Amino acid sequence: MKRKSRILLLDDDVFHRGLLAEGLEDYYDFEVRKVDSLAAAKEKIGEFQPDLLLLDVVAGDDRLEVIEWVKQLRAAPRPVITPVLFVTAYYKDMKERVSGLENTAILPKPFKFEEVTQEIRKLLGRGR
Amino acid sequence: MLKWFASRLERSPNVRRAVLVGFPIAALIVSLCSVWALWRTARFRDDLIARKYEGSLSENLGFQAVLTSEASRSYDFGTRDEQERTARIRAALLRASRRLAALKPPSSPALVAEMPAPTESISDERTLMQLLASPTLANLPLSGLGLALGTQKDLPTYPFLQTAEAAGKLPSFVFIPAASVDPQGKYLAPKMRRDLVFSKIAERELLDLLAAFKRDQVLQAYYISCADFIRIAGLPLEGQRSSFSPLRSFADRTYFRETRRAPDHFRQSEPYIDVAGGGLINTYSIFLSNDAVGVCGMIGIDRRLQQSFWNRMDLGAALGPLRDFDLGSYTIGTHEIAGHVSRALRHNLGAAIDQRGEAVKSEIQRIVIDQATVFTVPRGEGKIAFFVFNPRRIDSKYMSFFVVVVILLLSFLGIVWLDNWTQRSADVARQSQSEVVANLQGGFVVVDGQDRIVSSNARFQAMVEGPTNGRVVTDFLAPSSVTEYMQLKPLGGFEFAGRVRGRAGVLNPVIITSATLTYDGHPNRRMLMLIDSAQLEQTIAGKFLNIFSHALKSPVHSIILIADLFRRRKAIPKFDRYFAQMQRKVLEFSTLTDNVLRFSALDVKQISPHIRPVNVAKVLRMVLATAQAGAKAQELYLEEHISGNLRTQVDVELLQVVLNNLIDNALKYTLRGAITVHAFCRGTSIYIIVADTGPGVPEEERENIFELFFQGARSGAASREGLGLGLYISRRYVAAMGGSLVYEPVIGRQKEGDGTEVLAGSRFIIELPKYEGGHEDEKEEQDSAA
Repeated sequence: MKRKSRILLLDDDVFHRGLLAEGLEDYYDFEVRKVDSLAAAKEKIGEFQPDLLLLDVVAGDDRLEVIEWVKQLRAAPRPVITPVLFVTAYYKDMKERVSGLENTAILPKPFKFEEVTQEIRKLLGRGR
Repeated sequence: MLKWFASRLERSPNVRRAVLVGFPIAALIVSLCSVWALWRTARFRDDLIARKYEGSLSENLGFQAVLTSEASRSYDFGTRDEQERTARIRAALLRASRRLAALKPPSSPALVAEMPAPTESISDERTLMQLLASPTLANLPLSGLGLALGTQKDLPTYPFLQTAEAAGKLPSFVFIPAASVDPQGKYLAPKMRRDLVFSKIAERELLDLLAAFKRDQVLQAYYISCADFIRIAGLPLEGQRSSFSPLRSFADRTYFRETRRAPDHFRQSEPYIDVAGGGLINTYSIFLSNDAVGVCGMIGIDRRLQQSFWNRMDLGAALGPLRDFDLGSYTIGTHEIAGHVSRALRHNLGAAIDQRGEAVKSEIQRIVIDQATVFTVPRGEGKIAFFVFNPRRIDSKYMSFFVVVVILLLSFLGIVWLDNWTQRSADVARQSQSEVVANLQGGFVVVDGQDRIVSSNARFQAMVEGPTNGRVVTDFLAPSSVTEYMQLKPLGGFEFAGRVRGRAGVLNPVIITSATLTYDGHPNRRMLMLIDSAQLEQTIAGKFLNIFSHALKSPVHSIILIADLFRRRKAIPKFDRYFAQMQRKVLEFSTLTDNVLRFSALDVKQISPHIRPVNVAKVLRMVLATAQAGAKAQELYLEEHISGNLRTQVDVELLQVVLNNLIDNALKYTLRGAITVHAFCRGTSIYIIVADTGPGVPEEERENIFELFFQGARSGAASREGLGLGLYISRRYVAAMGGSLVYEPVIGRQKEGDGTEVLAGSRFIIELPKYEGGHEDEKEEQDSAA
């Protein structure tokens, strides 16, 4: 049987995170691991080996940290090229910042499941 | 018997072999059949659900047909074609409305068709058979009525034509929907059987109906499909659909019952969206009876039928182009012209039925023969026969047929159950949608592909000037926001800070959240939610704006996701939970918006509470009742311990705000366990304590939690939700009412290890002075909760 694509989902809103994960698992057949902070994401990425990172980029300084982290992953001696999908309510602001990163996409909030899964599939297709 | 069989089995190897081989094969066949049946049922169920769900949604959200707003609409942009088309439609509508206004009863003569002369009646079986074989009947066009007798070889095998040595004149009937015949004129036997099942189900209802009639002579009743009725009533209508839906048939029977009870046995429905077929429908039904027979007929006039009616009413020329255009794709808040059309139709049709009714009644003749009772109605050159058979007199050789009937009956009951179930699910979806739209404190607009507003809530209508429906949404935005909106649109979902054109042209700042959605069955809709940010800009420094907008937006994002989940068929069993979650989010959104507005008010003016003596228990119970839904959604217990006479002097509204804030807070931070609310009286004070089993507030933060914009650094829980306004406002409100609000940690002991003290939750304590005056019954009560 084909292995389900794994998604590591970072979202600090417990409710939104739960809904998104439930939708992706129940209706789109992904395996989702939820994390609520960047620290937790850093910790889980090695163990979970996700096929894609779905990162909710929030307001404030945290968003820069999240982008910084992705940059580090890409620039590491053994680069982590896992595709990254940023979702954000601050689309205009963020688009510039992530434009240079490889194998990433950005989706403005709010979104619907079709939109987010379409982006996910696009990124996963590109990676293989 | 068994013994004999066993001994045979032992003695004869042939029998044994036959059993050994035959039994597994039979079992295999039966199980294959079951699998197939299950698969079919599942497919059918999905189909039912889809229909029902979409139907109920469109009924709920589709509101009505959009003629008037169409007429008053103006375009600001668009192609030349579009402008011309609009002008054409507008002119046609104005003409049509004038014509409608001038339309007077009586009906146009075209509606009253010539009725053929009565034909002879049949008095025995031989005559019946002759009738069946007669060339006129054989050549009757199938579209004449559900049966073309004598032309189909399989017809005589139907039990109702052959069975029964008879006698028992039990009231019975046969129900022959036109849909049993396909347009090519072939008998659809399986369908026919299914329809017989329906007739069995309907039988009891019809008998009740007849009993209620208190006319002993009436032995038979007919339940006739709309198409048949149209034909019997001599209304030649072309192109009506011939689909048959079990769901429709439920609705039909309801109509019939109501028709029988209605004054004059005539009834007209309001326009509604047809579940089975789509489209706007008006239904007209009439119950006709004489001393022998009761006939109930129904005509559903849908958009396709309207064409011919309109033509006859001399409206066709005006409204025809509208139809061909795409009437169906418009939804609206008013259906004034549709109402005119309905009334005109009723006038015409009602008059036609009155006249035809007399004729129909006198021409339906009742003949009794041994096997069956036959009614004939003259039709063209032939006759149309209605057969009534006695179902209790069926030869055993037709047993298998009745086994099929019983099986179908059982499946039918299954459908009834499914029907209720899907209806319930659809109700939940419908309820949640309207609840969300009604409770949202932001402006809510749905636009179509050309950005025309198809629906808006009251909040939006209050934000802007003039009528909204049918206008282009960008009319209501400032030019810079229009540009931004047009740029962002290709993204799908987005949001931005813009300005809305309010009354007298004033531009008010708003946060606009937008997403595409399927609405009223149309996939290319877009919603816009406008949150007024004027208050925010005036009273709060820019750096807080971000916090505000994020906090306000995040419930909206969640609501959009839930709404998306609602669309999935697989999600139907989870509707209740989704709905609870949605309610919680809507509540959260309202509390937030409330807090923002209250906060703005706090800074602008002094709090001036309307203090009056109140029993706090009542207020508390009210607040708790609302909060239960939220607790349930999070699988938390919300317990109350309210004791004694809790009379105090407060402003009820302010106290509600405080309690809502405290409970909301507790719900937000508590991941598992319970929220407990104690209220009691001690000494000269009333205490209300809201305790939770959340993470508690760390010592270093306890000083600050009542400060403006304070947000705890708690991890795990919904750390970023909220504004840091609730406690600030609550403390100021309680103080204004002469009381105090303090925080106290709940300390527990570690179960394992050395039993060190750990933080086990939070406790917020409101103290209010007890009210001594007034009530003579008042007596001091000891608290039982502490």
